[in-house]
Amino acid sequence: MFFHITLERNMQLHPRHFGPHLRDKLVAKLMKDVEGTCSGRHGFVVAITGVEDIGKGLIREGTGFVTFPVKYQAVVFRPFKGEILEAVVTMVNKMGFFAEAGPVQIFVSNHLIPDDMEFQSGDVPNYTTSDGSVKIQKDSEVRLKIIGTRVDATEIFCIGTIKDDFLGVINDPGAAA
Amino acid sequence: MEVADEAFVVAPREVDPLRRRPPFIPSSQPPESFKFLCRPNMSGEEEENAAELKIGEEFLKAKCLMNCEVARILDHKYDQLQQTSDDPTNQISQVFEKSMQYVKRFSRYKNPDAVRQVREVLSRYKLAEFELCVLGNLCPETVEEAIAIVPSIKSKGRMLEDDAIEKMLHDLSLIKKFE
Amino acid sequence: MARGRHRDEDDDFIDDDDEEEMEEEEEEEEEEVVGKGRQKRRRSEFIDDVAVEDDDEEEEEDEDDEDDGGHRGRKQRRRSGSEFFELEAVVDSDDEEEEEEGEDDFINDAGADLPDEDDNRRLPHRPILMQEDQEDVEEMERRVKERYSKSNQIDYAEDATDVEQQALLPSVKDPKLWMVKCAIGHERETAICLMQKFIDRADLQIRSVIALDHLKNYIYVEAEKEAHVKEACKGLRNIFSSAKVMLVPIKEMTDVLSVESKAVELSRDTWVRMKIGIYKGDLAKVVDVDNIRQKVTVKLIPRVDLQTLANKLEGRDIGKKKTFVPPPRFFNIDEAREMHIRVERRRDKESGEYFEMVDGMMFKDGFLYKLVSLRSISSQNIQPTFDELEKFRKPGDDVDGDVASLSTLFANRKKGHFMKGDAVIVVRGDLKNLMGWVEKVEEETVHVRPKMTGLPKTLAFNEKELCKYFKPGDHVKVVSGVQEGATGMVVKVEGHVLIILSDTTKEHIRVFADHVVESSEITTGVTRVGDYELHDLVLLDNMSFGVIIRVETEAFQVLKGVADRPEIVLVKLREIKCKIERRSNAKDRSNNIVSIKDVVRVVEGPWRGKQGPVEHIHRGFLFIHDRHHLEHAGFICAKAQSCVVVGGTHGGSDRKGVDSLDSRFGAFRSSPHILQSPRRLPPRGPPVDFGGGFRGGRGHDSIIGKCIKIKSGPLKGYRGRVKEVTGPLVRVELDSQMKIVTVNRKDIADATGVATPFRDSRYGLGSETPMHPSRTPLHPYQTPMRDPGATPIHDGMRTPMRDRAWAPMSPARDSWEDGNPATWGTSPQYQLGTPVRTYEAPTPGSGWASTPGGNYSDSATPRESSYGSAPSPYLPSTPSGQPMTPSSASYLPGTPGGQPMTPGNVGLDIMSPTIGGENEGNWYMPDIFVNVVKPGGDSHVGIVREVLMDGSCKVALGSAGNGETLTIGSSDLEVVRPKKSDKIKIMNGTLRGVTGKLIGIDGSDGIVKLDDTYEVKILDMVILAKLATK
Repeated sequence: MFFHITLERNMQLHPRHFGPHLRDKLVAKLMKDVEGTCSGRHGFVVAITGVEDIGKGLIREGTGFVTFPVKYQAVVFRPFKGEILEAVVTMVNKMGFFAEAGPVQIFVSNHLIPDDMEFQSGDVPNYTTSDGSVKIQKDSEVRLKIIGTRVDATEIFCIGTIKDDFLGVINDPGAAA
Repeated sequence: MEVADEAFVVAPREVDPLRRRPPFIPSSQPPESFKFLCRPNMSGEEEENAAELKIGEEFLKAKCLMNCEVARILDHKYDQLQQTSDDPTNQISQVFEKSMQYVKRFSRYKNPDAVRQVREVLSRYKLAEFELCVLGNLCPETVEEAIAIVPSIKSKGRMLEDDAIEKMLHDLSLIKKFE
Repeated sequence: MARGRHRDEDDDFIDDDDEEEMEEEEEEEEEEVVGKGRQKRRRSEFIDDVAVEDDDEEEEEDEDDEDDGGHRGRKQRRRSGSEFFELEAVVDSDDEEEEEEGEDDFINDAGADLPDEDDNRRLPHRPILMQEDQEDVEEMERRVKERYSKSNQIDYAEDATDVEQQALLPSVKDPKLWMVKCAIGHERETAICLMQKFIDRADLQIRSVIALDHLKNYIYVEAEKEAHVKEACKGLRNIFSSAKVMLVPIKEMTDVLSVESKAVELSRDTWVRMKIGIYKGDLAKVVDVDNIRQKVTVKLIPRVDLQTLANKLEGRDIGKKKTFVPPPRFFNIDEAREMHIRVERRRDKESGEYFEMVDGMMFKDGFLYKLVSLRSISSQNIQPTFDELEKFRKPGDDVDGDVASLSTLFANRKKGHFMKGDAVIVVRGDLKNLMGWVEKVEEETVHVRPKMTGLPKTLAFNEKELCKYFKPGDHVKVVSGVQEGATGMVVKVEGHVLIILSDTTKEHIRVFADHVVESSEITTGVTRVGDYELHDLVLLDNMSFGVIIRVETEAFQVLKGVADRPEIVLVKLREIKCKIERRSNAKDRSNNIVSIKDVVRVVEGPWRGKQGPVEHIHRGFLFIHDRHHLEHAGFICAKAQSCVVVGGTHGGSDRKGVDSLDSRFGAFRSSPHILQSPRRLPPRGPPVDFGGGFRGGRGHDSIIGKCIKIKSGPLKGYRGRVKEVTGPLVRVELDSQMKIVTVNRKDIADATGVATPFRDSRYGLGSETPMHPSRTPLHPYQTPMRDPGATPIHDGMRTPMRDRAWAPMSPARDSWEDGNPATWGTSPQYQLGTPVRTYEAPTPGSGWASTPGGNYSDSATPRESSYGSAPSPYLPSTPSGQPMTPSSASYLPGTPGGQPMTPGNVGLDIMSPTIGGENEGNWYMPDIFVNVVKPGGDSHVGIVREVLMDGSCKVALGSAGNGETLTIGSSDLEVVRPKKSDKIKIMNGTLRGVTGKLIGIDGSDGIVKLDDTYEVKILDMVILAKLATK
């Protein structure tokens, strides 16, 4: 789920940037430093939408760098356990399939794919129901439920399931949803 | 065949004659080697679960964004970048790019007015931000589906009766229809 | 013989007379285990193999060479041995056996008439029993019967037994157990002595004596009072009179006697491993345990070679020993019959199951059932792999298999298995499937807070009734078993087996719930074999290189360093030459420097659009880790030239934040630094440097990044680039060797005259080039400089000039230097960052800003042409693929191989003889002929065996290289110029290291036919050396 939240960060700025455009520099640096990053708590920072407040700078001894507390607003993407969302299938293999929902990757194990869907290898590996009515392959759109998240320094990885009511392929005419 | 008599099955051990306590008592303290292990879930109950709206105080209060709203924000930002830079593709992060592709693909409402209306309509139903956005994103067609994807709207004696949900879904579909 | 039979009958019909019962009772009280074992023994005799046993019985009567178990079992039944014997008999030891034998004789001799003997011997005992216990005979009888009827039940429930056994535990009313210290090593002897004393003296008031095998220095004596013990021990030479007699607490009394734990512990369905024979190491499942005979029946996957078996049965080829171990395979009756092997079908008398008998072997369902000694199996720490378990799992066996592995799991549980907060599930008993959390662990009792409401706050369970519980989505770490160390997320829970998606391989692994703990840590499991670890960059046998993307047992999957398509090879440990550890850099498409950890985006080729941090750089190839790339562990190999740097470089700690800021900022709005900003074309490109002053990110030292020459010390004469300054020490990346060395700062001199810092020349020349067209080429190429300031712009700016400039080739350096005084003069200042703008000013930003790519390729072209004389096979095809930075290329001399080299280096190489003679030494290579010029004057021919780091060579003297090996400085060496049709080795240029044949000489050029490709090349004679053919 995308959120619009206010975050805080202490920005260090080199003294050479001090001057009439200090604020601009600070903002530019903030964007550079923060956008695209990921933390377990707040998820992926997609875009900074505004700076609320820049506090008083604190000169750091020795280096001359100045630390500014900056409050800013950002669009973040944070997946939650139990959340239901739509995603695009990016890879299908015999273990299951990977899907992407924005910046986050979700793996759906074959154990969490309905039992009636079988893996079909070939040029376009896919999971298909025995009657062939539903097929999951690369670029399929699926609705899935996140059942687990793992956070590390640069990413959040999720595992999901489509083994539940109203989950499964959505861009396929035969899909349940 | 016969089963070994297990009446006196005791773990193998050395009998220390001078020990006053039974020698097979395992230490009640976990061994040293276990201490490094992270135990994030001591009680097993404070777990995050969006289905029960357990998403943490911070996010519960934060403003949620539907995909269509995000699409507008990112579009706007992208335009800005384009104006100031010759090669915006090089400036945006992968996260931005992926998010933008995603929200564009999964936006139910493209029209800015419709986007506004969706939020307006849904806000009438005393939904949590998170619930509102899930509904707005997924646009369930039936009450059953709505409850399946947002189980929390039915739990904890919330006001939402099936009729109310029905009405809400109907309103949503109208927006789509007249978009 | 008759006596033996008689006794057996007595035992089995114990209610014949009171005395018999009484004795039984006593025995029971004294030692439960023995009683049980004996009971079982009795059963087995009458049910199992009656015929055999009876024979044994008779034979064994007087001889003692049968197996211990059987012998002892028999002895236990023998009442004449009295309770003392029985106690001793449990413990197995040969010397004790002998002593017992003595007793046997004694008894036999003494008591010809059995009943009498019994009466006599029990006389002293009986009064005590009666007076102390005060139990009437009926009561005892009832208890005895009850007990035996219990143990005869095959399928008793465990808990029920527990309760029954509770009643039998010693209480305060029972005689106590005392521990008496005796001489070490004489425990048994002491016990026997006490027994003898008891037999001899009627007044001894002890009940039993126990010596335990594993307990040295002590024996146990059962008696009512301490005084009785002391009395009994008095005068025994093995018991010290001063020895204290200690009381064993009632609770521990049972432990003293339940010593046969090893044997008893083995229960049906336990997994064991065979220790000997052809089945050594094989997994087996216990199907029956005979504790008395110390034998177990196990179920194995047979390793039977039917052909050999058939031969043997038909009497052929028997003498020949099997030389190989047949692979495990299920036994197939039909196959066997086809080979005319007689298969008998026999019904097991006890279980009623049918077995196929072949050559004395029992088969069932394809499994071999084998009776083995307890000693030939190991039952500790058996952790069957899933593969093995799968094999054992036959249709209809599933449930069984599950239970079996459970019991094994429990046996292998470590202490402290459960901890507070663990989620657990009850796997046995009434509350099966109840979930909860561990509140408290007390010994084997675990207090669980149930999840379900309406239950008591905590419930106590035995450890064995519980299993850890995980939910799908939990992140766990495997703490034991084959997969130990791996982490992943639980995908599915199948009973106590979890399916986990490994974090690193993104593959499923199956583990037991008991083997994992919840953890947020992320590791990979086995990631290391030998010196190599997952994600290492390695050099392979055939000079190719790649990144290890997967570690298998004894092999690695390597993503090779080739662009355009992923090439995966599986290599063995020995096929890896070495790990490539040096950190090098490359230039991206916009000629920005790419260093490790920089984030790049692939802009062309099949991986277009991929993005991620650079993990390795080698020979112009980047190994990028894109977490969205699902194959090859997320690694992508791309040419540096197909990529652009996106984020800030990580080269300097503070550089990222500060310097790159400008670029970003510049992109957003105009600024006073307008003159600089335009050149920051890739706006996020940090390499775009603000100026020299800040690029010293690593230490704010102006010397960092500079090219220097080492002026003294062992490495005198070397050139390199300063990587890092720490106090008085400087780390220098040598141009000519693949390494970074640490030298004293005072030992280095600014090498501006020799190798100019790239940037200086660039900026300087940017404005001056038109005036000095002939000089420019030298600079950028000669300076092995990784320069963050090297923006594409500048390249572009000068391209046309370079084009022209390059063609003339190798202008004398000195003259050039003279012609550029301004450049040199200012460069130090420039490095400090101050005068940047003056340099910037002449650079018209707009001109190149829009077309970096085009400029870039322009700039690449002249490079190729520049060394047209050293044609290289790869360059023409990859005009834009000049992937290497000069600095990394400068390493290449150490790594021969036909890989792309930077033009800069090429230029340098070719010209090196003219530039600086002392550098020549670096170009020596192994296996070439050299003349050793001694200071004295005469020269000897030798073959270079090894080039040392300091440039000197190990040279084997003699034209065949069989003379003595000397280490000779490079200045004393001279390459032997090859003659026509000599084998040669190319010492410089892109083909450095390649061998060939000199097929002709044209002035200063040699015509060379390469060995590998059979291509004919025209190369400067200077770079050719005669090759020593082995």
